[in-house]
Amino acid sequence: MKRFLHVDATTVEEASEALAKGGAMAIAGGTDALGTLKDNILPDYTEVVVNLKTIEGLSYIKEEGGMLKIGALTLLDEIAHSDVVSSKYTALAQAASRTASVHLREMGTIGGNICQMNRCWYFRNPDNKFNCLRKGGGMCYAMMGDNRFHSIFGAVKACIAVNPSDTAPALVALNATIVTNKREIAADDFWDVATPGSTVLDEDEIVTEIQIPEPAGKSAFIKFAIRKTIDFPVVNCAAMVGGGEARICLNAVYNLPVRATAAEEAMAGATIDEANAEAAGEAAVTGASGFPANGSNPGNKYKVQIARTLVKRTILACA
Amino acid sequence: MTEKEKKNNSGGVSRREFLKDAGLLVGGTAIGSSVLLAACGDGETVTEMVTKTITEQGGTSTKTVTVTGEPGATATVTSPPITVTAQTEAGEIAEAIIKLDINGNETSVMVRPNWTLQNVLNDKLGLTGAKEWCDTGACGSCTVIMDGRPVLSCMMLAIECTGKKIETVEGIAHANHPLIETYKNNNCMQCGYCTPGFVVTAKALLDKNPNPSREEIIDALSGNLCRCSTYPQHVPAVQEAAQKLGGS
Amino acid sequence: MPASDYTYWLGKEKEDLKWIGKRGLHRLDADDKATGKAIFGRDVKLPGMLYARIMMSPYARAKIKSMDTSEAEKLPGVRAVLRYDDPIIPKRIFNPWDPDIGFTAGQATPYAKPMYILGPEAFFEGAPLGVAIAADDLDIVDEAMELVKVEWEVLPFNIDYEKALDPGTPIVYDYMTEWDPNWLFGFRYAISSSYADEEFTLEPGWSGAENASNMVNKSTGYLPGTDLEAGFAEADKTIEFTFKRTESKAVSPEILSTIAQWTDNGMLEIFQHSQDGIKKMFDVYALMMDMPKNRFLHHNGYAGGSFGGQTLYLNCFHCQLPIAAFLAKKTGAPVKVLYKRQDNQFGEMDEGKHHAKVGFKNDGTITAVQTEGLFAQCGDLRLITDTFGVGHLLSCTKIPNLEGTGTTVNVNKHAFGAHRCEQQIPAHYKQEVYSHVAAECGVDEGTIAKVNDGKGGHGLEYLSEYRHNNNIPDVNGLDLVLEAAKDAVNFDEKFHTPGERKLPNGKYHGMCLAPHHEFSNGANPPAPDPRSLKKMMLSCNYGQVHITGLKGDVGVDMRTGICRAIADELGMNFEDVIYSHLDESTESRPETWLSGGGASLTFSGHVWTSVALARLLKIKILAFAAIALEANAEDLDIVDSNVVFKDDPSNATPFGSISSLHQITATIPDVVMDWGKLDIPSAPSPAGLVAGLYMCRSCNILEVEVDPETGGVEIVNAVAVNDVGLAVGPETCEGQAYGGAIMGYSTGSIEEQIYDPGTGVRLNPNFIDYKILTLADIPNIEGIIVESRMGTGPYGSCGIGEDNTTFCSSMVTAAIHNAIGKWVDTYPPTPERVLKALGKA
Repeated sequence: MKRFLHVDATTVEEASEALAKGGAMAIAGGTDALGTLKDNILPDYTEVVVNLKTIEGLSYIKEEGGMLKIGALTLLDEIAHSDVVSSKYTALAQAASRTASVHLREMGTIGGNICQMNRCWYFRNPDNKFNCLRKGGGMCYAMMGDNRFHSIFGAVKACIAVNPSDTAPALVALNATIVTNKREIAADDFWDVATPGSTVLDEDEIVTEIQIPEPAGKSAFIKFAIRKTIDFPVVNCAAMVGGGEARICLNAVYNLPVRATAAEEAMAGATIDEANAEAAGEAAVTGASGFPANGSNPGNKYKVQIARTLVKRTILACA
Repeated sequence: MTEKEKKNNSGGVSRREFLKDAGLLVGGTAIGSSVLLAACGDGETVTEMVTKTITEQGGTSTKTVTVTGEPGATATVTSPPITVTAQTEAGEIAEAIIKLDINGNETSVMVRPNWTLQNVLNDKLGLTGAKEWCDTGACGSCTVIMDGRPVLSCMMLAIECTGKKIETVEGIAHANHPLIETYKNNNCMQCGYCTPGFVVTAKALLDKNPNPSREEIIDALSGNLCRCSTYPQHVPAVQEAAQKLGGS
Repeated sequence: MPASDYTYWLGKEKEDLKWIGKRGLHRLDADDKATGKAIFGRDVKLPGMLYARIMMSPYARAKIKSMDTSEAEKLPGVRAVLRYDDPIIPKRIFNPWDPDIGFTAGQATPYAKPMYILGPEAFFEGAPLGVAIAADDLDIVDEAMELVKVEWEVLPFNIDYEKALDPGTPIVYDYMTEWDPNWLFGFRYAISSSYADEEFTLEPGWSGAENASNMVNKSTGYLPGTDLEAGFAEADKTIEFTFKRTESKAVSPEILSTIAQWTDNGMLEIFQHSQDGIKKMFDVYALMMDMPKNRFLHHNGYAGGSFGGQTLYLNCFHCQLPIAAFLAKKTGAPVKVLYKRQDNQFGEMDEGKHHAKVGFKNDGTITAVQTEGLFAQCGDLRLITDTFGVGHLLSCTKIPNLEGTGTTVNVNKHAFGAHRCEQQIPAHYKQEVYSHVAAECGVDEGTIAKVNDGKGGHGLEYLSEYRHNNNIPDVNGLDLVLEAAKDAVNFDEKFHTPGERKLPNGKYHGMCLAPHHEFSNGANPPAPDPRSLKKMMLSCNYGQVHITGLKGDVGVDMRTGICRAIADELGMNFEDVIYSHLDESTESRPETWLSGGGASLTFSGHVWTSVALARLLKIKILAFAAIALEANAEDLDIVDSNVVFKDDPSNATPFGSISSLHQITATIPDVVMDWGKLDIPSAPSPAGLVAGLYMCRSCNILEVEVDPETGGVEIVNAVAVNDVGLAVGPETCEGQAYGGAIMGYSTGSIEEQIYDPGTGVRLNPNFIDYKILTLADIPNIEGIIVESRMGTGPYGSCGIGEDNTTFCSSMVTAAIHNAIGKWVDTYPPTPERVLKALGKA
């Protein structure tokens, strides 16, 4: 890892000021940030790392005013093991408990997990060998290259990377609000295809809290990955179904978490059973296509089948 | 100060240039906590958080001192265990001496911000038990216990571990933790490179959960890779250690 | 016949062995490894040591046209810059066929390409070349490396082995047309030497098409007497099938690093982990560095995984040692050259496309097998000992008609490194043949193995007679392991024909059974010749026996095995036998392949040497003790580290209290001179028995569950049964059994090195995207050891280590086929490939 300067922020304002100067990267758990720095993936190497962990009072899980509030620095492990999250906001606890590995959950924060950069292997290749669209370059290498883990719903701004977060779909399904030092953003609107980031946040904007209203029904999260631990999702899905409502979100299938609106409409007020769930799964992947095989690239059409299955199973798990 | 040092501490130098020269900068002399305590006045009446800048011959060091207590009460001054030895005018640190509690021993070590804890333990402090394997947070070989949690020292900046209580396999072995014996009894090692990472992770588990089930052991150790695939033996080794520790 | 009729061969009865086979003894390296005290090469730090890195090619194939290192040289803290055109680097390019180096053809063969220090040409992305920089710390090294300006000539490349010979595909290693034709000869040699009793036809690569030099070789091997036409005519049914394997990696835990420093007396002192301290490795370095062969002092620490890779070939190719040495020379300080993780993803010996035609009778008797393979040669080195699909059918069956053709082509893919082991392809063919025929016949693979059991076209009667004539116990090895494996998983109750068992969880259950032969490496008794013995010495020291021997740690814990054997031979207590490592220069070191490839955990030639030395030492001890005790040596023995009178064992004198014994040593020359007194049997002749002895067998069983809606495959249950002849360290043998099996299942289920087709750049050179199984993913698994005493090592032992990995990597798709009734034809069976087989993707 090349050299950089370091600042311990003691308040959100201090952190924001440090980030506003440019050339800076915020670090919380560091499990994503250090990976990007070690592999030197960005064209402009970070000059200053701004430590958010030294900010007091951003690690908590509490119910207040009819909603769940989670501080941005709360560890994924704490969320996974929280009784209140597990019992009422189940999808989030399940998502947190399936994120990365046991060690990384002891280090990584919820704020970091939703702000992480994409995992496209062209974007992440060491020493910026592929100066892609997300780094200000002119093309998406995955489009013509090996895209077996990429988007099945097309490109955003010509980029076909996927959002790799496990907690993101849970937050969307649970209709969460992301609170920053500047504003409150609905989870639906939080993610973006930025350069190089993956959120709508300004350079000096910092997530401080996640707010989740008490869900009307049960929620669940299911992840399909190659291994049972460590891995990012091939596809994941979170759903909240009940009380006449349904919110269903797929992730790792598109640049942004994907609300399966057709599936939601099908499930709103419907009985949770095999037939309805299967129909909803089918509805969820309408419009998904994926890339065909091409030489050594197997393409990713198989992800459509996995997405269909996960929507069905996640809905059934909300029964 | 030499001309070079003056230049480095002036605002006109880019951070990149500053970083390039930081290795040569003769930093401020390490300032012991007694100096700071005197400067800040332990026992004074608390008014607000104070920041003292102390300049000494040979460079500049800044130290933030936290004063706790309600205003009006007698102050307890905690000297944070970091002494900055090179920084920009904006207070961005390029080099510092940090204090770590490693296996119960207080250790001071000079670090740069880009050095990971694994790097500092292994290369600077000679504690080679935390191993570099994947170097991306995906194998568990560099696991240490920090404030009770099993964490990956390769994905942790040493400078951010300032003042932390760190337990390494060397400490676990020195304390004769039963895991060492049970790992030997169960033939848990082949090439042995990943073994310390497993031992440390298992220790963190037993600290938290003295009587883990088979599933809990598998879950706790599932972030530790072993290429030789000694995997099956770790479960009985941890179970045996739990028994020795008085679990059932 | 009972084993006691074979005492000459076996040496001792099992019940007379106190330490060999004893359970509950800690491995001698256990404490070091559990406590973190074990020092691996990567951990070594010397006073005043500098750090260095080598530039890595960003291109799959490129040449350095010019390079400007002036800015890097100016960076404060940079101590030396070693460029490819530095005059300190000898101009001589290393040619393994150079008579000066004195390689046997087998040693030279793996050097598929000429070797040079720092290039200036790269043949794959991530190849070390151009420049190495040493500085005070790694921060400075990395910054200096960024200041190096290179003008590249980016050359056309090819990473698709199937297109290697298509019109328009560029020649990927153009010197293949220019360099010593022995490089071609090397491949001929490798193939012919592995089946000395076979007959071959060889076709040189470079003729015909303009890019024909992309072909390394094409060769055909067959069992003598093979008549394919007759064999297929005799069959009730003939099937054909194709399978492909993609590239897998060894991903050794410890990243390659080398520390070098020059001592006052002109020795080059090296700290580099290597699974074997091979003299030849230093011969190569001496040649490459233009220095005498006797100036190397090698400290071989613990090795964090190697699996066949951290050897002569890999270490030499990367040239870390000469680079570290030249930088140390330039700076006058010790220098540590380090790789990063992505630089260390060595592996591959399995990428290729394979076709087989199999004729068989309705009862499963196979009448003919014909195979044709196309292999990708990655990186710059290759240990290609077996391109033939029929190799393992030859060593495990009596199938009379076997012929295999292999074509090897060059591609610009990342560096070689053995991956436990090079036999994966012939083992895979064997498994595919068994599993396909079993599925066709509606039986399990064990049944097919039994029907065809034999060796080199010979049936069981021939084998039985052979064993009898060579004093080897006559046991049906296959029955032993089949029974143990089937019992362990309740196989007969679970067995079903393909696609027939859907579980309550909605998944399909599948099984695969893989019978195979043992792995033995150097286990045959040596000849009374210093060159066939390993460098080792025993000496008595105050009641203990010290072993001074070479160090080579690949995790199989050979040290403990040697100490067990010497304790038993001498009548010493285990704790009184001490193993000291020999760190030394290559001067006078005999050729040593210590525990190569992990093949012989229990015994290798090394342990035969130990046994011979121990027997000699015992003779000497008793002779000296006889003088001290005023007795006849014949009346004395050693029991529990005491010298006792045979007729009155209570009359015991502690070994350590007889002062004259402290002088005694046993050395290789002594052993050779007194060979006749040592009862070392001569090796059974494999003449007339094709493909070696390999009398012991192994059997793996795998159970999977396949999710038909996601293509996910879960490996749920497995057993690894190995007949090791006699287990010297039972727990270690079991560890090799389940450990090897899990590693094989990992390779065979999820491991794949992926490249960008447009640039040849590796897309997953890290542990997030290149995946190996975790504790949460592995099956319930048991390693079971069977002891037939049919091995050719001391006491009837044989090797274990490589085999389970090699065999298990090819079992997963057969188990999937048993689950879903469809073949997944490409390894690893990803969800995408499984869903495709099911028609769902």
